Amino acid sequence: MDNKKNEVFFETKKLTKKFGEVVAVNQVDMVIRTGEIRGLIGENGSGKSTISSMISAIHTVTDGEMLLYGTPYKPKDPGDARAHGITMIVQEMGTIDGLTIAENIFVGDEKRFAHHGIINRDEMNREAEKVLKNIGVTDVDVRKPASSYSLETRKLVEVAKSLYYDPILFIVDETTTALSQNGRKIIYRIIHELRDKGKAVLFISHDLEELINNCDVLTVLRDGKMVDTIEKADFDENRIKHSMVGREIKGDYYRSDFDGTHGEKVMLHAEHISNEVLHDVSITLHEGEILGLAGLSGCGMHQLGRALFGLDKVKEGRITAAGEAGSEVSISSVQDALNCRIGYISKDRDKEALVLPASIKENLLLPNLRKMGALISPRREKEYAQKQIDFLAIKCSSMNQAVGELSGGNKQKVSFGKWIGNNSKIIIMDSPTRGVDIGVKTTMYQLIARMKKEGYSILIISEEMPELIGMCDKILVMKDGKVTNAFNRDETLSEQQIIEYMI
Amino acid sequence: MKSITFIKRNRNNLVCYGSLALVIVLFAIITKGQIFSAYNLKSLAGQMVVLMIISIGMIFMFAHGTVDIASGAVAGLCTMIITLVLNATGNVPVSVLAAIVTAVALYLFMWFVTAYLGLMSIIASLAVMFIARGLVTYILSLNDGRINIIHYDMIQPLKSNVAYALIAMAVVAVIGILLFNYTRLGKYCKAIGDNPISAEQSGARLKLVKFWCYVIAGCCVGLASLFLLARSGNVGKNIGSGTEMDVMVAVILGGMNLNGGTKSRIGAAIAGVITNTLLSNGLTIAGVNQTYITLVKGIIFIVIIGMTLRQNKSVAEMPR
Repeated sequence: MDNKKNEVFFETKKLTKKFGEVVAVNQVDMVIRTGEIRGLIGENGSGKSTISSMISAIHTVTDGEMLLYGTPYKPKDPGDARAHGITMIVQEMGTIDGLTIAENIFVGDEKRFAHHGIINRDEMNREAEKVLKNIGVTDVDVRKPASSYSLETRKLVEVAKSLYYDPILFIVDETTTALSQNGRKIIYRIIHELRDKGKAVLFISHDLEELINNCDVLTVLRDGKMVDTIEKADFDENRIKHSMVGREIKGDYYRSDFDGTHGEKVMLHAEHISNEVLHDVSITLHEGEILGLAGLSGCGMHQLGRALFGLDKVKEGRITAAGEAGSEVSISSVQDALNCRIGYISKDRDKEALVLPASIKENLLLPNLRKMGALISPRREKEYAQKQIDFLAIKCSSMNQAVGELSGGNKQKVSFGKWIGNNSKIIIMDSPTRGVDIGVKTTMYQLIARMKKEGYSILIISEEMPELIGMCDKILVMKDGKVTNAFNRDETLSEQQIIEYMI
Repeated sequence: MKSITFIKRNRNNLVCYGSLALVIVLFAIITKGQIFSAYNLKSLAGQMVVLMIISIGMIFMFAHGTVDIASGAVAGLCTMIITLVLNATGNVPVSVLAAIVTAVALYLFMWFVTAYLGLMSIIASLAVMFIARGLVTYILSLNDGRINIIHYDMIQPLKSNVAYALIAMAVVAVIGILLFNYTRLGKYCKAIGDNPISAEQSGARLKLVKFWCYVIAGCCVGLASLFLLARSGNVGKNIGSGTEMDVMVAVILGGMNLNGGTKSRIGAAIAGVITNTLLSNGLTIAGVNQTYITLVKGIIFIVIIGMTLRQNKSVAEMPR
């Protein structure tokens, strides 16, 4: 094979991957040249890992094609990809605990040491030592099981294993997060060596600094689409950040008013709460207020939502809510939260918010069962469910249809209906419009605005900045488990102002 | 197309009543109606009472996602408790109460181990199975391998007069249906079987719901042991053994998915036990050798499992 530099050798054309209804990668056209380190960056769920998994044949391609040296490349399995010169270090653990380091390196390829069907272990171990030495690792006993070594060492073993097959394209998928500074240095050295030899590296990471320092070209993904490709000369932290996070505001389906006023009554209040993730967080939610929580996915805002609903324990501080008789009630369990008429819509709709195999009726009723008395009449159940289905205009064949068969938007309507129906007054919504199309989003926003008018107190936790700016009376920005700033509703508020406190 | 969706959605119902109807028609023909003679109907009721009561209790376990295999051994231990208490006091209600208390205590032990020590429920029930079976064997060894009931005449009517069995089954079935279909407990139970996280976030207290399920199962096993004892007449070392498997066979014949969840139905226990009993009884009346009965039942069982438990091809999981 020819290893000239700067030669296009790998291309994707309208590469698309769907998981059921969800589009994870949307028509990506990417070109990789030999002799370059290509960085891939984007938020969680932007499709980075899915793209690399398709290239290395861990996932199948839904649509579009990949070209290797101009000819269609359709790997059957990771072994086939390896035979084409593409190897990958995965995000998760890729070694098998019970096997020795040497066995791990040659797993699936033991044949090369077989003589008349018997594997020559000494030969395998010697070869394994050589492989490790190639990447500068000498203090590992290849006869010991993988489980006796640290995560870092095992990762390096994986690297050695991938390099053994002399890849033309070497994919590193968020491997460095698991490594110490020392381990990272080894990886950086290896990928630079590969580049200098005229190979290509696809480097996926969350760490912007590491990408800027090591990559020649950066590709930015957002919502499964390729939004930007930046050459080294144009690397600029702010530009990259903005193309990563920024979303355009399309049309005006948010609240049209800029009246940020709300009732005086405090409905939900957290005072200096701390736990494993949160550090001294205080927030106050008033009657008729829409409060927003902004931040990157690891900032602790999701955990704050869980803590406020009594799902996550708080080590220090106190959470209180307005009880039935105007009293202050302390929240330390889901039961407390429900007694104070708090509702919670989890961001993981399919795994947490809904019981997918159960019917729409059963799902809608679930949070209201506590109020339906000892014996529940089927007629009342039907009336209750029908009321919510009509109110939210849920599209379904009947109330007995399984929720799992509904579209994303209608599923989300059901999870809204669960809490609207049972007379909750405070609703915590974690990523309420994730994975729903524009049409349903509009309905959701109208609904949220209407709920504010009716006196509901709403906490919106979201990674989508325009949504928060468009809907909230007040936005709290979180970073590293702390609240870093607060913005009141204002026509002039921009994403940039908020992002500054997020990153 | 519409009929296919209908079949898909009602597959469990179809299996439940379909296999019951099939068995009824089949044996009506094979036995030339003998199976429905007044005499045989009486004996059928007697044969199914133990399994019926236990299966109804077990539906609450299966529905929330627990597979219990201790019911046979616990029922066996309970027959011994009834015998010992009855021999000592001569009072039937007291001895039945003692059996129910014992069964509930053992089931709550399983609940505790599962809920607080985080062990898999099937491991806990395996342990309880050995404990109960071991106790029976040990106490029997102290009594020359068999305990006779001094006051057998007091519980003998339960065997000879089929009305008791019918009443017991009807009462347990009505209570079971009410609890399972018309109360919070039953609804939470099904939701937990499918998605405990969602159920918890919607206000179900997982441990509490499971607590009541275990109590119900214990009560049913305790009560059933009275009929088990009445039918066998004395306590031997194998009393009740294999009941747990019969329960599983019955509820699966009734169209129950042992993984539990929202498609769980209490009717699976009722129809399933009837199907199961008819199957054994009908094969016997038809003159099939006892050895083949197990074999034939095994084949029918696997066919029905194939129809109910076959999972739909699941949608690929979203990565990360």
